Amino acid sequence: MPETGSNLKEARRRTPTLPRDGFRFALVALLLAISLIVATGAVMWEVKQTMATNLFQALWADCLLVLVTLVPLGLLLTASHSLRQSRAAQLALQKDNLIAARVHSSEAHTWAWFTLGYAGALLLFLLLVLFFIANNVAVGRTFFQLPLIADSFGLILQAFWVNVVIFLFAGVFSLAWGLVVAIAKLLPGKPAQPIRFIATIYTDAFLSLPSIIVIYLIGFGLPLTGIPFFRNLPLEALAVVALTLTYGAYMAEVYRAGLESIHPSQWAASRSLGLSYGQTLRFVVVPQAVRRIIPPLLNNFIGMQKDTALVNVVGVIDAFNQARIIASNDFNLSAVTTVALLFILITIPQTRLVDRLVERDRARFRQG
Amino acid sequence: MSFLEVKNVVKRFGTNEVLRGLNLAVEEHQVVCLIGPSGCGKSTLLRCVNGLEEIQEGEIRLHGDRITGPGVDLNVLRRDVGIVFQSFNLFPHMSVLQNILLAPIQVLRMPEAEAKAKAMGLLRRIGLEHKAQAYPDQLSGGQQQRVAIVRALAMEPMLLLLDEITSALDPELVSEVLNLLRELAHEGMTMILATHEMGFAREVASKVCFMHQGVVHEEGPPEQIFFNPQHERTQQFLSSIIEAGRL
Ligand SMILES: Nc1ncnc2c1ncn2[C@@H]1O[C@H](COP(=O)(O)OP(=O)(O)O)[C@@H](O)[C@H]1O
Ligand SMILES: [Mg+2]
Repeated sequence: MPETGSNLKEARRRTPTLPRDGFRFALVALLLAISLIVATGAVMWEVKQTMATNLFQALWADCLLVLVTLVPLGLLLTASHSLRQSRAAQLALQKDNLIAARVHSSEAHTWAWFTLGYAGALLLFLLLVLFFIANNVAVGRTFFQLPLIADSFGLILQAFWVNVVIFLFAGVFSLAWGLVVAIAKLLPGKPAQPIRFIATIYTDAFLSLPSIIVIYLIGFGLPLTGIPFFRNLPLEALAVVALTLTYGAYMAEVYRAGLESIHPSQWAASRSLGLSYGQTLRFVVVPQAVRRIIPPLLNNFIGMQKDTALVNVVGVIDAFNQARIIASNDFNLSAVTTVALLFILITIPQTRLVDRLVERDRARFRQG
Repeated sequence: MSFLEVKNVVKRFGTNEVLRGLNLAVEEHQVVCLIGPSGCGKSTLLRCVNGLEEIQEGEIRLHGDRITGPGVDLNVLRRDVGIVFQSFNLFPHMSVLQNILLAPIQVLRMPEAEAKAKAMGLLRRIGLEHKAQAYPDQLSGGQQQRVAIVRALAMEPMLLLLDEITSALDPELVSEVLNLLRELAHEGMTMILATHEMGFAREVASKVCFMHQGVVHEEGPPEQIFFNPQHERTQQFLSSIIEAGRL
């Protein structure tokens, strides 16, 4: 009925929406905060027990435990703040002060969510601690024996240098090689058809081959051919060749996407000024394309860094290989943990650096 | 023999015949305006003259020299024929000055100092000296378009092609671009411009060509085309323009 329809509309227009009541939500947050305080206390007590059975005693450790136990008290503050705000909202509503009620209610919700968020993080942390000390610190012993880490650190760092050299060379080479392949794939015209064909076969092949197989084939295969040049190459150089071939294909795909993303009008503008195909690539298209694809290029670069750990299949003594030797001597994986930490340590700054580069470039585009 | 001769040019995109035996002659120091409904092939014609599109039949001659067909050095042709597009097409990763310097230094092998002095002179002329180090996206549309014109002028072309260069501009920015074109026309620059600015065409054009269905349907001095068009299709087009308040 049109009649009732418009009446409903009228009615809806006259009654403003009331703010959501945050009281129950705040109460949940408070309960959660209290249970987490208890849980944290219990877990820290458990840690203390474990320390006692292992005859480990240190003032700093005890202080740390107490400190951690106190942390969740902060949640009490935020939860009670939320509770107070939701009370204030209810009071304001009774006094028909709708605007104040909305403000308080929104505050109440914000703080309740805040409590929930931190409670979740704390919960994860507690689970991690429990996992770590489970079965009388089995996890901790297996992966994080500090004395073993300290003992093996020098050797592993030395071996890690091999990884660094390999990925620096393979990185630079595959960045250059990938660009060459991408341009070959995009060459226009009939005469370039065979080149395009070869480039396509190459990328297809190396995108589908697992890098470990390429390393194996090249690292073992090329010296076996008996060709003097390959026989005399150090294994590390062969590893660089293998990684360059594999990651060159990945880089080529990224470059190609970047080159194709440049609008044809940029080609037209450049060619119309009399610049040749090559000059247009060099001065107009490639610089713009590379700016856009720095993040995916770096992702490939980092992926390749990680794959340097695969060179142990042909017997290169890299950090991982060294760590495995140490680990099998010690019957303990702490040395491998060291390698893992090293990889994390070198990767994080690179990601940050690229974020910065991209940001700076964006800023320059804006302000000049 | 005319300065630029377009003879029976046929241009197809696949099966779509865009230019259907088009003829056009341009004398030195002439300003020729191409008008006509959207999609009639104005841009395509200009791109063919600049060698950005290949033609299938006919030929184009500049100074009597054939500039279409196999064996033509397009890079050399383009030093003599400049083109400015509707959307500005400046290089976004280069400053205004770098945009202007690129072709003179890389193509003409002009010494950098000389090229720079010349570029700054051109920028001074359009009042954008202070924007030399700015990047294109920091300029207004009108400023970008004037830089694009100056970028083409830096190559000292014999012929300048302008493809609806004010169509993407806000109305208040159109005049600054047209003023520059007016100056160039007075200096004797040979230009072909595709345009919807009928008032401007009437003022500066030596010849107006109405294009329709891939040929020049009617051509003549502006007074004739605008006030005494002979063909029915031209009259229809002009009355639609007048309705839109553009004449
Ligand atoms: N690169 C292209 N590929 C296919 N068709 C095109 C291309 N460029 C233009 N055309 C076609 O050519 C015709 C004329 O286009 P255009 O020259 O841009 O007209 P105008 O500039 O007069 O508006 C249109 O029908 C258009 O679809
Ligand atoms: Mg057009």
